[in-house]
Amino acid sequence: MEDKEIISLYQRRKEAAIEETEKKFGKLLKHMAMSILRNYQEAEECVNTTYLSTWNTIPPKDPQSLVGYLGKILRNVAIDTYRKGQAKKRSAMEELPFSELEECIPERVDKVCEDKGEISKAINNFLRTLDTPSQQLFVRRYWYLDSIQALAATFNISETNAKQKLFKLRNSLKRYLEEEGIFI
Amino acid sequence: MSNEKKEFLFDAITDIEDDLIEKAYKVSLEASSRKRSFRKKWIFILAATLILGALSVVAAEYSSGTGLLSSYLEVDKSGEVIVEDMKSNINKTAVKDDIEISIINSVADSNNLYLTLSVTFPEGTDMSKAFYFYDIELIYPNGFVNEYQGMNYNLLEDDNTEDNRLYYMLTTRFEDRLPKEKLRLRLRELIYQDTKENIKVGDEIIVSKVGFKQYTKVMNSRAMINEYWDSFYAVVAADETWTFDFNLHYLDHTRAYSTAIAFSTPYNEYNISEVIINPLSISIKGYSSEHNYSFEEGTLAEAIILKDGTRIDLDNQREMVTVYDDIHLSGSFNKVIAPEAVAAVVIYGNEYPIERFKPMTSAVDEKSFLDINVFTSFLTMSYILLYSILSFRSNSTDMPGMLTLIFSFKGNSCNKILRDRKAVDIEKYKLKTFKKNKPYNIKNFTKERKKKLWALIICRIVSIVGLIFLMVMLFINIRIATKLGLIYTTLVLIDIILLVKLLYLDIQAKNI
Repeated sequence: MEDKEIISLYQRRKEAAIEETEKKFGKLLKHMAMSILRNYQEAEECVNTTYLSTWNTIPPKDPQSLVGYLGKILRNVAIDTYRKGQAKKRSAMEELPFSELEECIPERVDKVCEDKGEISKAINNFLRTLDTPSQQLFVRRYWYLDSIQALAATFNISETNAKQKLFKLRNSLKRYLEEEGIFI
Repeated sequence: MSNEKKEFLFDAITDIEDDLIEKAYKVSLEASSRKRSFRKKWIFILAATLILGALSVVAAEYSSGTGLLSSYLEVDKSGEVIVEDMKSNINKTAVKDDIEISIINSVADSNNLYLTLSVTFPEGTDMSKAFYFYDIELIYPNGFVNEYQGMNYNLLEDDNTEDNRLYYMLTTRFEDRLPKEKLRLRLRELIYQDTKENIKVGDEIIVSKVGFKQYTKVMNSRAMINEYWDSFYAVVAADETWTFDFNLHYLDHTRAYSTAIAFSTPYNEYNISEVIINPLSISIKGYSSEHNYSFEEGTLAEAIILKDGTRIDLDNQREMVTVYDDIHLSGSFNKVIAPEAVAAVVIYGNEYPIERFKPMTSAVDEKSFLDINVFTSFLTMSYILLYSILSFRSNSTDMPGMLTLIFSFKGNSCNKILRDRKAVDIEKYKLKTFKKNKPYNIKNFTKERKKKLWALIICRIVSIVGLIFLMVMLFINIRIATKLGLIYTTLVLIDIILLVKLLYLDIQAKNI
């Protein structure tokens, strides 16, 4: 089913909307949740919360991209769950792909950007400077949280090649943020 | 760096704009479609868009199998020999609408097929366009169409940029055994892609002339526009079908092993029962105990380790799970390997040495072939001796019938082994290979093999002595002696031919 048709089901308050969402995006959302939480049960809860939240917010919202909308809700729910569960010493943030993010972050003690929106804008602008495959690679890795193997398969390149491209992208992002004067 | 900062960046990345997210989603859809559907429209265009961006290939020697493969696979010296075995020159050409397409050659093993194509365009063609086929079908003699196996479609970079010729390589991997028989390749509609901003369903696209017969195709597939690209459309450059019939040949280097590997992940428990290694890919079969496969991250089959310690990570992994929880993992190598050079496979981070696996081909069959030979030879010999004695008394003429039965038994038994034998290919036993590998050289025989060979030779000598004895015994009755002697001599000759063939099979089986 097309995304617009699913959104239309939500707008008409048809419960089939959730069923169709799960059918189309369930596996992707579970994968993303698991990548962040490393816990099957919590990932399930996180995905269910995402469905509920989507149900409660459409309408009034009318997302242009359903996958983007679902993914953003899921990432927010998952990171909240992760923060709550930090006492349990889970180490998802120490693992890939999160640990790779370190390389993208320029640091300066005297000048710290605390505006998330500003960084988001900079990242979006950075992505707009890239060619399409590089954009897709970056987003698949750090937004969809795809593994290197999955990226290699998706982009039909070797894993080594995927790692190299990501390494270059992280360095480019870091340089870009530095040039923009954004430090964390 | 603290987790807070990483989380901060994580939050910032969450707000990547929707169109970028959507674009990245589509690339994944495309990849999975490419895997699932061989014939699905547009896959080749999308795949090629990706591949062209990532792939820079120099194809120098298109007529050479090694040159062909080495254009994007590492082929070392041992690999060259294997590639030569896998290669088959096809050289079939079809011309439609002034466009000449040739299949140059194939390189194949039991699970992989590489086909090199050349497409020659008429003079004046705008060669800057990226040309692809709208639909490709590989059809087996039984009518089965290979429509679900993913096929990559690579444009090979050509040193000669002046001519109007492009080289393509079609590559596909078969989950099941690649049939070594007559195949039909059908290429339909040569197209090229173009873009235009804000294209809408139903919009008419005016196509510029590209150098040969011009077609205008209006993009009217709602699914396409919605699912993939908003500003993308295709132009049919030649609305034709090019059909090629060719025989697929390759010498099989496959090694198959039965295993009893058990391992578990946080979500599943797996049992691996079969590992099949060929020069270009590995296939791992088994079953899982749970239904949580979709939660697995990454791929389970990771790499192979060669005997010299080289680790080769698998590319293009595929993982299939049936409703019965059978799993089929597979992946290809970035170089051509000799399957016998593999020391271990790496699955879910653990190394499993091949030596612990049980070969599925040679050992049992080798024994069976020789045992049947020894048994039937003794049977023949015993019967001849027995008959000689009896015939001296009764002049019975039942011997030819009995011998026929014995040979029939031998033939059926051997055929049964051949039928049951997995991953062994009859092509392997071609006389050419036989001569090349010199398997008849007694220096190459193991002790056990030598013993069995001597046993067979003794059997034959005794049989011949038996024949002479028979002839002498029957000399008294010249009519029966002539009749039986001729029949028996013929049968012995057939038997010797069979013996040579079976020994040859046996020796070759050891090398698989």
